Amino acid sequence: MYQTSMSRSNPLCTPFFLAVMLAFLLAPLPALAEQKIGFVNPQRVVNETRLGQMAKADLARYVAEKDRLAKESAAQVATLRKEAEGPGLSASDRARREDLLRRKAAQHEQLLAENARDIKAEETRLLQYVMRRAEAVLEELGKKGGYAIIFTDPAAVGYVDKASVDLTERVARELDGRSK
Amino acid sequence: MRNIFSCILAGLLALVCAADALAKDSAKDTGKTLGWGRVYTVRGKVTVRENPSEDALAVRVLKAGQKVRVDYEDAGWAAAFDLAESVRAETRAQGYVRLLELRAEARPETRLEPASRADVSDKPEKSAKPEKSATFDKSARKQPQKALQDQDFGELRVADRKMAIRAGRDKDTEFLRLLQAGQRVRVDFHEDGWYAVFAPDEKVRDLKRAWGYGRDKFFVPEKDYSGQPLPDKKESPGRESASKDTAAKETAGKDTSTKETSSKETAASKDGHTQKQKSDDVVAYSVLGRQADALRPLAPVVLRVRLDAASPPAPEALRKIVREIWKAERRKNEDLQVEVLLPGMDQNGLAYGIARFHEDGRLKEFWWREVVLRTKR
Repeated sequence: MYQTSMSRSNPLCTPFFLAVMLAFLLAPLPALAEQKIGFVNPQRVVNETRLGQMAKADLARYVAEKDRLAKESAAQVATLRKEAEGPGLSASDRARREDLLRRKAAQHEQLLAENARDIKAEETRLLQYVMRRAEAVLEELGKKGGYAIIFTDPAAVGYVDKASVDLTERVARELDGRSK
Repeated sequence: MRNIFSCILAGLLALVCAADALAKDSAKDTGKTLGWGRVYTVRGKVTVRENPSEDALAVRVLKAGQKVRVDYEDAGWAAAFDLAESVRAETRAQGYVRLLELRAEARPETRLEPASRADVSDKPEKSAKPEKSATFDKSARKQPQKALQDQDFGELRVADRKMAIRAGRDKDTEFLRLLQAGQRVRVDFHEDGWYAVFAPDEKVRDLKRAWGYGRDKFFVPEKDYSGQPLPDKKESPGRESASKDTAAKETAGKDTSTKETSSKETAASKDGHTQKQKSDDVVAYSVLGRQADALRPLAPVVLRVRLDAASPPAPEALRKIVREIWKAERRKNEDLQVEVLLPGMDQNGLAYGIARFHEDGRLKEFWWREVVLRTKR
């Protein structure tokens, strides 16, 4: 009688409580089941978006500007070389011109090295600029789509089932939409 | 019958008035858009250069049959503009042409004079500023037009700072010229806190002969001026060289809009910025920062500025703008790299335009990034 009355009055044994507990236990399972993994190819994002194309055009303009500087400098070196190798120069005059040529040639070499370094740096800056915008898209896409991880390094991924996890096109489309 | 007749008469009268007004308006418009500079038709090839120098980069070549508008003539060079260019601003020039080359290879068109030029009696023979007097404000026209022969009209005063002379009694009217600190002028027609400013040796009390208008508080009697006096320069009203004009652009507005500038500076100083206000045809900008690389002493000092421009200037205009900024901001013998940002762009992000310069102010390197325009806002 006591037991019966206890079992009747114990709230832990009510069907309602059991249902709630079950719900709590099972609730995280679907969420875990929806966690996905994605992959984005940064090079394709640059190649296939308007923003990326524009960055490429900017870089081409920058390279052209650097080329112009290099050509000007090369022309100066050529002129000095012509002068230094010209006939009818006294020994001292020739030595002076050759010295001038050596210094100008060294400056030219330095300019070429600086240009190469600057172009590389500009390329990195522009690529970073595009990828930073792409990252914002990725973050939003990841949150909305329930992605736990989105890889952006092709080398870090051994196998990618492109049909199911490659988000490059979606990211490119979204990025284009934002940069209109 | 009489009523009908009077109605027809009134209608005809109204039509005549309207036609007259329309004709005046269209004439004024034509003058505004077309009436400046000189237009040439090129017969041979004329090279347009980035700077007024033979060594400067050739930015384009004008071919036979092409028309070009030139202005801002100085030292044998003139700024070349697109024929359709409506705004007379050096910053909008395509480049510079050598006048000798232009005259040898082109013939001048009939000068397109502004209609309003008719009411300007003493204009400079030079193309410098044909619209100057045309843009004098209404208050100028309200003044008595008759010329009074008066040896000692007004009074001689001294500008106590560099200050702009404007086309009207308002800081927003067109900039005409720059007065140097200590420069003597004759002032008269005091109204609304503004003086009409004349050459110190002007004999005729006539507003048409005034250089323009200046704020009264910046003119002090000679005895009260404590700075270095400047020798008088005899100049005909409105006559200015392009170089002077350029110099004026650099400093104009800093003084005339002192109130605005100072208030802006106060507001901006909280962020560690300085604000510079430029004359009408030069875009205003604010300096965001100046950074030197301590580890690389030979690296250029980077000056970042934000242009106060509603739309990004075209690269050609940007070249001019960065040059003006370089002139205004460069400190002694500094290798200054100018980086230009636009409103809405991240202060520490990529700049829109970047320029490096030769020692003499010619552009050495210039490039711009269109990618930043896509996402700046």
